[in-house]
Amino acid sequence: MTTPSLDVLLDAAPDAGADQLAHHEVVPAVDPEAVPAGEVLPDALADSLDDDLYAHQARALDALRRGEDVTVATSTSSGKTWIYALYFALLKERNPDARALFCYPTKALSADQERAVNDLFADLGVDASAETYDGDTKADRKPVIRANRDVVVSNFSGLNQYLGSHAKWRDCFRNVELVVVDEAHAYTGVHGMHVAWVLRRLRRVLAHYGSRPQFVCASATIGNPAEHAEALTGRETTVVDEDGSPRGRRDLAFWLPERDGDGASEGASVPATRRRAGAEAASVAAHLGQRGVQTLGFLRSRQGTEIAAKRAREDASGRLRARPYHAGLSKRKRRAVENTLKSGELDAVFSTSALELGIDVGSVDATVLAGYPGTRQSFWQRIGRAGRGTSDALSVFVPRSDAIDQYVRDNPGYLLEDDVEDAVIDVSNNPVYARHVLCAADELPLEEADVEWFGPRERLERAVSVWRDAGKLVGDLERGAQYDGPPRPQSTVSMYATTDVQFDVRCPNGDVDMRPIQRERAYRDYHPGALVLYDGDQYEVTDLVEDHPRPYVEVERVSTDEYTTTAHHKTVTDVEASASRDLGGGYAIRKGTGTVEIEYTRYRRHSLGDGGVEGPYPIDLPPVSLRTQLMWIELPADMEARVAERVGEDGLVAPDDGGMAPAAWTFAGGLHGAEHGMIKLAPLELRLDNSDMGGLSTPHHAETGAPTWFVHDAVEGGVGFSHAIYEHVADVAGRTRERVADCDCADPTGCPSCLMSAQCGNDNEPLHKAATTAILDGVLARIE
Amino acid sequence: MERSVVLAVYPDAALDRLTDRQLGESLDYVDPDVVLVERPYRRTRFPGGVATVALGGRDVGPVTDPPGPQVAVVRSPDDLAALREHERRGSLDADAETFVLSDLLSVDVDLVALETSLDGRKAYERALSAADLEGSYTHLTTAAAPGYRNDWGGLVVQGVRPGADETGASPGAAVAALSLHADGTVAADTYDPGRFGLEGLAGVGPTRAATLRHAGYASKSDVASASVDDLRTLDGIGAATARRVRYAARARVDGRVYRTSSARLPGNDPVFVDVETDGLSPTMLWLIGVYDTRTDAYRSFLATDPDDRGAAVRAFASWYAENATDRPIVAYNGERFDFPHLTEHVDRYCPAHADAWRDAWTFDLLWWARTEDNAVLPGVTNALDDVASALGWAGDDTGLSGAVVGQRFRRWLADPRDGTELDWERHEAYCEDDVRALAYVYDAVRDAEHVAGVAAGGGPTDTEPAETAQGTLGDFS
Repeated sequence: MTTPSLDVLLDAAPDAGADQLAHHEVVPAVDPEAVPAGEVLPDALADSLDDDLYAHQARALDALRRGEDVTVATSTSSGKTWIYALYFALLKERNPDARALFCYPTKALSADQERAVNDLFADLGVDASAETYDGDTKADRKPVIRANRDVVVSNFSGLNQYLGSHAKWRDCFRNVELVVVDEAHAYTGVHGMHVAWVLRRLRRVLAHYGSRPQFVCASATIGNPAEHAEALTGRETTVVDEDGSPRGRRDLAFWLPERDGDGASEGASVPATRRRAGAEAASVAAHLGQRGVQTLGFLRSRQGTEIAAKRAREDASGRLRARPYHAGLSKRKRRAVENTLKSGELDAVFSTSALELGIDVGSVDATVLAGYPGTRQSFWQRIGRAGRGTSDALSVFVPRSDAIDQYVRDNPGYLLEDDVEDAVIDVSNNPVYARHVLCAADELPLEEADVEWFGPRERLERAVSVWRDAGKLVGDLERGAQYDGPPRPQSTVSMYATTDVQFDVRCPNGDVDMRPIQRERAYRDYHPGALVLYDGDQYEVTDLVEDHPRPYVEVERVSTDEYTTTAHHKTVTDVEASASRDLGGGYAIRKGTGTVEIEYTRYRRHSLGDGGVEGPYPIDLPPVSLRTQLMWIELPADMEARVAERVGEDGLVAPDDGGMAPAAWTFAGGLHGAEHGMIKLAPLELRLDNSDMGGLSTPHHAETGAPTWFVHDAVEGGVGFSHAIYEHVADVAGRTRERVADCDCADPTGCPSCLMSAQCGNDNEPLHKAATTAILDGVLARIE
Repeated sequence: MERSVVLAVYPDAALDRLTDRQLGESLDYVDPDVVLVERPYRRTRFPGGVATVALGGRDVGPVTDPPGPQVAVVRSPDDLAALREHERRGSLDADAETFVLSDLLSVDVDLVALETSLDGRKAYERALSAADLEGSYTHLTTAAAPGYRNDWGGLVVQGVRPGADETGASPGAAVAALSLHADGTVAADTYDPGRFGLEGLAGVGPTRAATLRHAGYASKSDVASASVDDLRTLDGIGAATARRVRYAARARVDGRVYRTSSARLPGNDPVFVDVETDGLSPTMLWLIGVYDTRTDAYRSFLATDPDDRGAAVRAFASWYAENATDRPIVAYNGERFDFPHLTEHVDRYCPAHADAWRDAWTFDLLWWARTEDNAVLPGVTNALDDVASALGWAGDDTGLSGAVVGQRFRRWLADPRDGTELDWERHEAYCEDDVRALAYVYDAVRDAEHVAGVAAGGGPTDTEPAETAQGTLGDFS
């Protein structure tokens, strides 16, 4: 068997090799840091363990035994499950009635961990069992699990509902001593906010039954583990993040796809089509697999995995055992792939993010990533799937053409920095808060003491009065505020949205398994006539129906070589700053709230084949208005002149219709480019979904009175993203500047890899690379 | 006797859905004193004898006669001044609540700013204070849904129109029936149009109703007289549905219960209970009525002191422990309401009795009949008072609902004084009536005929039944 190393890879393309290998890094092996189990655990338990504990496991157990909450932020397969399973075993020994709740973000993971935990208890000889309780659990099992199971395995969408009938859970809730939030880093943004509130409602109901459990958050490495866990649980936590588990040597190669000859996609405003990196990944995996290097490939879509598996088998002339893996496959098929991968009967598996999270498939020899997965944490998690025990491993990163991938390709140091993205959770969103307070009122009448969970007092009082005046609550905090609305308010909470107007996505000629979408996104991406991609398939939106008890959009499965771009008109008004940094000289950076009104006006259809454009076609929808969080940067009044000077007369660009002077047009392009750039590249610093954001740039804003660009959250009430950019503005602006300056596209107006954005409402005009660089330089110089 | 006036609201969307027969049946059931429609031309749908008011119409002033409570319509804040004149003349009874109906007030909920405001409030309140009215007024608005109620600093606002809710929580194609009481409390119920006509039969939706009509079965009586075999020949109606539908029609037309399975009721001298609370998520169970068939005695456990919220529960639990641990405790809709609340309050206020209560043999008659599919009940709805009256129970028919009683009790709790104190004796009498109605329905079920093809399961049991017949605090999630 060949050792997985770079040589095997270079062997594949001896001619193209040098051209395709953009970078090579060796991550050295690491020895384990072990602690004898007896130092941390009582003898009975320690003796039943075969090996020593890793240092981080020991530290975590120590902290837990001292009664603290713990957040373990170490890499995947570092044995986090052991920590909380062992601790529960300890609790159970002390108190035979002890119960626990273990929560996971996906059903697949719940099933996997239920098995793992039960195996562990069996190995330890502990008389305890775990069982999953969620939407799939059979009705007759449910009372049994509630009454008897020591560990209830579930998820937060389920818990949100179960809290509404907590009386049935009395026996369990009276005895809960431990709550585990695994893969905690997955809870950010809108979903993270909901989880944070469900956890507070859970703690409140548990306290009602006399339980005040300890919390364990198990997370991948993120930049702010303490802050994130505390925002999630509402409690202080002890962070354990120095990984004591061993690792073999790893070769990391940045491998560029073969040149394709077809230059159409460079320089045109095309959303990433994703095929070429995937095709290259398939070939690489085929090559490695045939040489006995078992490989796991990661792709972005389900369809991508199917195509890659097929292509890999073709590349190897049928002499390769390769399979796709994704959440759309039946449980049986997925289990089959997991098992045959583990047993070595498969040479290659191509997966979506489904195999990134902790499901146990053993380890492979090599991993190939088609495209950067969006965060460093995710990147290392996937890489980490390669490497059996302490043996060597090979990982190959094949970048796509989009801005972030190109940034990473140009700056390999970015991946190897110790710094990891911060996870963003912002519990200051009022609509989400108010909805959970209403659910809490249904669970138990709201009283003064509830300030503990929903404070500060002023905020809770306002929530009580907004609902009382809306007829949904009666009473007040002093005497108790009771819920008085339609039954089960918990079912109106959508764990992925901030408002309650949700559009279902329906497809008459096929099956589209999409979550409902919020109105802002429906209007923007799913207006009638829009072409959308979902999970590798293309759909055309045929109808958007809002005047209906259950609003919906209707889509039809199509297969064209076209895509649509949408134009909109946006205003930002009633801006209120809650914090500012005055940098002097007319430069300022601020954050706060504002009203964003967006009217989607028309759309065009573009052909990928011949570059033809049809339209514009009108969009007949009313404007969307949201009150949300934003940040903005103000520039000095004479910035236009300064930029013109920096760029030079030859560098100025005039608009096609001559409607604006070249200096003004160029300056506007600089502002617009800065706005796009920061939104596109913010994910390099922060765990956020930039499709939940938008921006506006203007050479003169009526309220700020200055040249300004705004970055705002695209959901009602805000979600913490733009405010997080404010906090990290130097880093985000810095990275944007680097990407723009480094981009080797020829056009002064930029390309999709630097300034162009698929979400631009102005047809990506005006944009200007040099002007953007000049503006960002001006701001960065002042920040330093 | 409770005085109340019934306002029925028929939005356009509901009228579009209702056939004439369904409309007639809904009017018989609701028996309104006045009907509100959205536009004047809609009034023509209603038979001559029914008093109607249109939103876009011209009537102003009282639309029902004294003595109160009464409904008065205003079109602009200025019309409020005219009400003073009506008070003076006696066309408005200033001793009972008057319900002023308009579209002048609407509710705007701003969750981002955490503020709810009442649009139109300023102008309305200004006109109201200038009018210097003597009586007590509740303000009905068509810009809010029937479940809406709030006291805006003395201005009590109640919604009336289904669908007038931005979130879509209130379906627009529904009929609302509001019982407006002399003391200002309001009971609001909404009914889906499918509740009436052939669609009101279990198993019949709009499609099957059309099928039946086309086949010549115009009314429930027609369906009741048909044979199961005749019905099965129809498109989309198989043997099981035919039987179900036919017996549902028989039950309605004959005013009887039909047993559709051989499941048995618990025998053993049941104890019937009913519980009054201070709301759907109660802080207090203030009245527990109990009818013990073994002693043929009714008694109630009453708690009126806001500082001793467990008084009734404690007395009940203690009585239960001494007298009834060997008998089934029967409630109507107990699974969802009475039993979970009793358990929680026993736990909280008399934990010494918690274990005994946990082991209680509880039985929910509605659950057994409807959810477990053991019997067809004859009411227009499955509410206890509908079923009992369909079976001939000549009870009090107070028109009070648990919601209204809860409202009154909360008013008392918030501000215990003469003006808010309930007439305890009267409410105990209402509760007794409800409990006896439950016993009456239970007997009717016990004595009911089994449908053809289903054998009776022998006599009532004398010992504790197996788990399946026992309506314990099982899951229904």
